[in-house]
Order: sequence, then structure tokens, then C-alpha cells
Amino acid sequence: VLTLDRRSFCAASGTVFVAGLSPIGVAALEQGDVSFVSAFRTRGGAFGVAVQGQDGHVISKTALPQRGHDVVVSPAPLSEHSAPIAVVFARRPGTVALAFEPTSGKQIGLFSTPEKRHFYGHGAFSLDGKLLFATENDYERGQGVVGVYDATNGFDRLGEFGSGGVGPHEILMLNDGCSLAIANGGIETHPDFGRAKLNLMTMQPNLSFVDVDSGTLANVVPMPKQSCKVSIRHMVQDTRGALWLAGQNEDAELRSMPLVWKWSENSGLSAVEVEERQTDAFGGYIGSIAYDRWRDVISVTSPKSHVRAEFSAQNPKAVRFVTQEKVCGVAASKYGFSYNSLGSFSQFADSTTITSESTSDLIWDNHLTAVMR
Amino acid sequence: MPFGTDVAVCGKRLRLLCLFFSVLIITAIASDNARSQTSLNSQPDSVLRVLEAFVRPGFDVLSRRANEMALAMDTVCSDEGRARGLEWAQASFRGMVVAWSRVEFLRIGPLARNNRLERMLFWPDRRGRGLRQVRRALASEDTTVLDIETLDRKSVAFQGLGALEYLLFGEIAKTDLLKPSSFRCRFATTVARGMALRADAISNDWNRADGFSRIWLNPGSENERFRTMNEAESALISIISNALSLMQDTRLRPLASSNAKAALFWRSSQSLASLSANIVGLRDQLRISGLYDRLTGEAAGLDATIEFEFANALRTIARMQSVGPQNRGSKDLDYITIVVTSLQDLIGNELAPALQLSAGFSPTDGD
Repeated sequence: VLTLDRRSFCAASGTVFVAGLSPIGVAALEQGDVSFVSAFRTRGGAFGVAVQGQDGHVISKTALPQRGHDVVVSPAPLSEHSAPIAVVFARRPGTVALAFEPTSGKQIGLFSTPEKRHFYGHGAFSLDGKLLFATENDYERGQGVVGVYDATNGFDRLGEFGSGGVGPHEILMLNDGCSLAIANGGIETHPDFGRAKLNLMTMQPNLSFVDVDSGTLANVVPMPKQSCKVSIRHMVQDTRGALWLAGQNEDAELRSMPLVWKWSENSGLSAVEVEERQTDAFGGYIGSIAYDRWRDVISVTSPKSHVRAEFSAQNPKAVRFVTQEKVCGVAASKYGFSYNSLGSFSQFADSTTITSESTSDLIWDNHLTAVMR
Repeated sequence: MPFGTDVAVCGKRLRLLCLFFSVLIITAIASDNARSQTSLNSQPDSVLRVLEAFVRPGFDVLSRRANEMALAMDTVCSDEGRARGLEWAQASFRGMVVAWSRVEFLRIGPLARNNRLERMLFWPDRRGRGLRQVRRALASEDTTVLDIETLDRKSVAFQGLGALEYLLFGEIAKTDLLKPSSFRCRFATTVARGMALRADAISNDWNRADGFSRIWLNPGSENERFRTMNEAESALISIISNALSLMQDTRLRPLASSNAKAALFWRSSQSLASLSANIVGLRDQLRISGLYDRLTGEAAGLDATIEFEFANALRTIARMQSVGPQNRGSKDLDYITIVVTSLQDLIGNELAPALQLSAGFSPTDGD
């Protein structure tokens, strides 16, 4: 059982992989101005987080005590001389997160949720990099919360506020730096029943907004009734402020439902209309979403159907589908979209023009994060 | 109310029996139709075998057990058969649990429709929310639970095995059930009748020539659910793979908890019987599919390894059943968990690739 004292920033110890960079790794990183980070599993079943160079080659690996999910990178260093910080979160019902330097893989420390909470695998930094917000489950009450951690003080947990729904997943700091958007997927789970979904019949997903300064709920936008079986999980914000959300269909009868949604202040929340056949192409499951601000293009991936789809944020109806085995992790950089699928990395200048490719013996987790320098 | 006509045509006492025989006849005709129609096309053999020798007979048995249960409840509530009827009803309940547990992981097609799965078994019931509603209805003698139509519109927690188990095996159940004009008895009868009708409907749907069976048996580019033969056959593997994962999370975990009342069917002492039937169901489904016959080369011994693990799990459960709850150690459950994990690995990571099939994407694996 974790106590308040124990959760505050315990140093990582007893890890399996050697953290930090080899001389070859340093050379690989110096060659590029973008690197990538992703959680992984080894063929032997161990978990970790890796730094990948611009061409996708693995240049450092750090062990994790639980399966990791997403990595979030601080938008600002804590001081002029300090290195950027990244945090990888355990996926549900994991309770640990690891802070590390995304440019070197060097560990900063492990921290964990308090008793009766677990992470959902996602978090967001404040624009000044001083606070970290993480989606968590208050599982005895069956309610989502956002844990607030102090990045300037060993990720000590300062407190929490309600997420405005059940089963919060991705949390985003909006471009203005004042509000957090939270995708409350609507699905209740409890560690007593592992990862089993407990309320699929009555689930009510929503998109909520929280005022960062006060921690108060500013707005809750429910999914329309006919789409309440679409659990919204992941999202990006475009340069015009609109949010693009990707969901997963929990309908027991697998009736076709739109999985890509758009929210904007003026128009509210609505499904991105594509042909029904195209909606079916995702097999009811979108695993990841990314926004390429250089080209104003969005990419979504479905490891279940082995497809990825790209569309312009200005004209989302013109969707280009590309088949790619087990594709899931996607990140945007000025070089285009990069994808992780099973053990492979690939980068594309446009939807089909491959510019970089590499393979590893690792099995990549759902998300890929780009680190710009 | 989809069952209204059936209930109205049959007489009060005989209606379920009448319904039962009519279902058998319809079932037989439907099965013949399904067979003659589907044998014309090239179909996935494994799916056809599983449908004909596992799914349809399995849901037919469930329908029979559920109808027996309803008849037994009629007897319990009658003046003449009360005491003898209770024993019969409790035995029928146990039979229904086993029949259900054999097939419950076929959560596609007919069982996925209209929340039938949850209506048959609302589990896990976090914080006992469902049960609280049943208790409240019992305490207040809410007469809306005595009518199939109004019960059908209520929370699913009123409608399935969980509610029925509480009514038959809960505290003071026996005394309460045996009272003349017992409210509890009439409540349990309504639940049992509703379940019998639902089990009939599920069985009928599986037997229909134009139903989900046809979709599963006829993959193609126009088939929205199964575009290729490989997808149709892969569904067999993913059903088993998902079942093993759900079994771990929702059956083994609660069984291993320090709270003896956390397990499914603890009131009727059917936790282990249900688990055993779950495993037998998955083992039989795989055996019947004929997929083992396709293993060649390095994968040739895989069927023996999988069968060995199924047998290990079943033997351990049987030993736990024979020693009684007081003498059960946690080691046996730990061992079963290890075996179930091993089966997941063998089926998902060895059997599926050896057959060029995919264990699919486990809904409990994605995030």
C-alpha cells in the first residue's frame, strides 16, 4: 500500500535495462533535431520506455515496473540550464510514472499515484512545465480525477480535481495554456476486476474542460445519445483551436459509428462525416491520433484493422487510407508523420512517400511522441 | 415486448412447456434450413463444425435448462409442491449455471443483441448495485417485478442469474419462498420465465438460417462483419482468447480475493462449477473446430500442449471442489491463473500464427 510519503518521488532502482546513452546513441541524437519516445514491451514480456533517433533507431531503453502507455514532454525546461523532462505513465490499472530526459533517456525518478487511485496512461504539462496533470481513476467512487503533480519538487502530488466524467483518458493542455481538455471515455473499471469494462450498457462519454488555475470544471460536452457507445479516448488540438477526437466503439452489436469527432468553440461537438464504409475501415477502434501543424493534416491509426488514415483539417472528407500492419503509435514532426507498428518505425513525407524506416526487436506500445529540439 | 404472442397463446400452467416444444420444432426446421442453404457455398469448415456441434447444441441445452427452471419455480409456488419444488428449483438453477457457463463467452451475434448478455448475467456487479435493487423490490413487494413485460423494462440486474440466485439462495430465502403466496416466490418465477423466453430467443437466433450463422458462415467482400475466410475463422480464436482474459479478470480475481463473497455464484456454491464449465466450453469449442488437424511441422504437438493445460486447470478445479471451501489453499487458484495465462499465450501467440489466423485484438488489451 502506498502512503503519501512513499509516493513522493522515489528514485528508480533495480531496473533491468541500462539507462542512458551509449556513445553511438549520443552520435545518433546529435545528427537530428527531432527524436521520438515510446513505451514498449520486449519479446520476453518486460516493459520499458525507449528513445528513438530521427530515423527511428532505438538509442536508449529504460525499464518500467509496469506497462507504459503515453509519454508527455514538458514544453519548457525548468531552468535555463536544465534538460527537457518527459514522463511516461503506466496504463490502467498501473500506478507508476517515470520522469526522464527524452533526449538522453536518463532517468529522473519514479513516482506513483496515492492509494485508491491509478493512472490511465496520459498526462499534460502546464505551459511553464512546472505542473503535471494526470488522468486517474478514483475507483471506489467510479469517478475520474486529475492528479496534480509538482514537476519542480520531485513530482510531489499537490492534489486532485474531478475530471467531469468516468474513465478519463487523454488530457490536453490547450494552446491558450489556461484550460485542460479531458476525454472522459465513459468506461468504468476497478482493479478488483482487472481491465474488465463494468458499465458498457450505461456508459456516458464526454469531453470536459477544466480551468487550470482554479481546477474547476468549466464545461462538459456529452457525446450525443446515439453515439454514447463511442468511447472518446485521444485528441489533438489544431492551430485554429479546434479539437479532433478519436474514439473506440463499444457497441456490443458492432453497429457502425463515427469514430472521429471534432469540437470547436463555435460549432460544439460533431462527428466528422466520412462514408460509412470508411468508418468501418477502422474496425471500431482508433488507437492513436496526431496533428501535423506544418501541413495542417491529421492522422489516425487502427492497429485492429491495420490501417491508418490521413485527412486535412480543412477538408476532413477527403480521407486517404493506407494499409499498415498493426500500426498504432503516430507522431508529427516537420518531417511528416512517423509511425510505430509492432517493432517497426516508419516516417512519411506524405501519406505514402516513405523517408525513413527501421526495425527493432521491441514491441511498441500505442503511442509515439516526437521531441523537437 | 417480443415474447408477448407466445405467452398469450399457451395456457397458464402449460405455457412454458408448450413454448418449449414449439421451440424444439422450430429449432429442428431452422437447423435443417441452415444446413441445406449453407452447404451450397464454400464455407469455413471450422466455423460450420463449431456452429453445428457446439454453439447450437449448447444454446439448446441452455434453453432446456432455463425452461426446466421456470417449471420448477411454478411448482415451488404451488401449495401442493412447495417443499419438494424448492430442492428441484435449486438443482435446476445449478444446471442452468453450468449450461450458461459453457456458452457464455460466445458474446457475438445473438447474445450481443438487445443487452441479452447482461440480461442473462449482470456481472461484475460493482458495489452490489444490481443486488441492492433486487433487495429493495423484495422488501417493498414492488408488484411491477411480477409481470414479465414490466420486469423486462427494468434494470438488467432484475432479469438474470444474479437476481435469481439471490432469490433462491439469499438470506432467509428458504423460509421466505415457502410461505403461502410468497412474494419472493412469484418474483423468482417471473425472473425464471423471462430467462426461459430469452434463452429460447437466443437459441432460435443461432438456429435461424438467415441469422448471424449465415453472416459467420459466408465471408466475402459484401459481408460487413467477416470479409474473408480468415476473418471468420480468426473469430473462433479471438472468442477463446478474449474469454480467457475475461475469465482472469472477472472470475479468478474475485475468487482469489480475501472476501469470500466476491466470487460469482458464491451464494449457490457454484463458483467453481461455473469456472469448470467455462473451461470445458472453451476446450470443446477448440476441439470441435477441427483446427488442431491443420497443425503440421513444428506446430504438430501444439494441440497436446493446449489439451494438457486445459486438463491441468480442470483437474485443479476438481480437487478444489472435492476438498470443500475450508480446506482450499490459495495456491490452487494461483496455479489456475498461471495455467489460464499459459493457455492465452499458447492460443494467441502459438496456435493462431501456426494456423495463419489472428487472435484478433483483445478488447481488454487496447487502450
